[in-house]
Amino acid sequence: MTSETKKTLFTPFNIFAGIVLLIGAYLTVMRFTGGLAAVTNLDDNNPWGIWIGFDLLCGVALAAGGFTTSAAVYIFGMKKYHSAVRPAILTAFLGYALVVFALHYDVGRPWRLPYPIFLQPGTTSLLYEVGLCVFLYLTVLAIEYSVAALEWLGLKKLRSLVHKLTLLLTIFGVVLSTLHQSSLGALYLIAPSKLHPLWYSTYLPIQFFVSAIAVGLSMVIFEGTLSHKPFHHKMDATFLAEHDGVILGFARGASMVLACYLAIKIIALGADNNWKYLVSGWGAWYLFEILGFVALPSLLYAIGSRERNIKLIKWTAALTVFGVVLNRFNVSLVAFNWQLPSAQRYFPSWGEIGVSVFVVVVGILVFRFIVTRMPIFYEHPEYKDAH
Amino acid sequence: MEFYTYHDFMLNAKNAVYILMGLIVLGFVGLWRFVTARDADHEAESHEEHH
Repeated sequence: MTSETKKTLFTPFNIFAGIVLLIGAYLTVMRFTGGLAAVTNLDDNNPWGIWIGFDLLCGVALAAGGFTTSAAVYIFGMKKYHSAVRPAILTAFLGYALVVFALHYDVGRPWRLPYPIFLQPGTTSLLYEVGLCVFLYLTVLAIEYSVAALEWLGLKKLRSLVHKLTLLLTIFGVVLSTLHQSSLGALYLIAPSKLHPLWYSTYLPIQFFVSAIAVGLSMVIFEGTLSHKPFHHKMDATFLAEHDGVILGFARGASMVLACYLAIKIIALGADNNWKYLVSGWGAWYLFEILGFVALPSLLYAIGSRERNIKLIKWTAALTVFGVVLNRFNVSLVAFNWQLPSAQRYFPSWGEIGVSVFVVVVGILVFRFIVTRMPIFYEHPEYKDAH
Repeated sequence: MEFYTYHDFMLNAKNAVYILMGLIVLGFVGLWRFVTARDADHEAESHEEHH
């Protein structure tokens, strides 16, 4: 091994990723030989832990950039954001693929995951609807993403055929995302006695959907910011020229959507007359989430967009992403089973945290593998202006 | 505040929501005006840069 190869292979991130993959492999063996009890703190009171609260709820919400960006470009005709579509679709595709991957760890008998779709459809169940939508949308995203892979492989005829489906797939993607982003919130409607009244609301499905749009727009900015330094050499002149416009436009959109989300949250408080809970410890935590991670980012996005302050917008995108993760954690874990004594409350085990970190690292490695080889941040020279 | 009937509760909650909705609409108009206030200046700047 030459010293140059050593230098590029043994980077701090690669060493960290290697350690995480080894720990992930160990935890995978533990999980599939010893069962859920061997690596999790799950029990009958808390059957859904961070593999649902983080890997699934956050994974699906953070992948919303795919349908928001493609809808903006292909349905609303905002062609100036076109260069953001492929990174957003790739992030969404990997996000959903990892959600399904992580689900294999969480369900008791993962080999039965296809059963609800093909053998025993429970058509009156919300969970069935979520499963069907995720299954269909992952397929849609795989086809949408495959255009880049086919260009890389040089399969021109197949690429041309798939590319003709773009508008149809975008519409299908928007419909499916609207359905399952909201249904993930609707899952918690079944537990009014378990979820704290400040977070429980009949508006939960709308809150999940609207916050997913806000975090989808933010993820495009956030992911673009993170990618800019390591993959700058892969970005073509069009991508770099449109980059600031994408950030400013998406910041304006995210500001208004976050304001909508804040409005729905306030109306939900008023409709259920839950004001009294605000003056409690739970109320302080709720206000921390709403003021710090919804109202503040909405205002900062507005200021950033008005003043064309790209740096402020990038930091606000990170704040929004963290805020939606915090909201999903609050709904699924923190404010869930809030009346149970602390000894019976759920806290994730190291094994659960390890698997979640493992899943994220696998996602980053696959993302890096793809963007360093396929036309994601640049247009393939043979397909210039073929959009 | 104590409510003795469901009607009392709904009346109170709906009153609050209607007032909130009015305030929110005004807030949205204000936010949109705030966000777009400098658009004309920025457009003029980019127009000058092109020439």
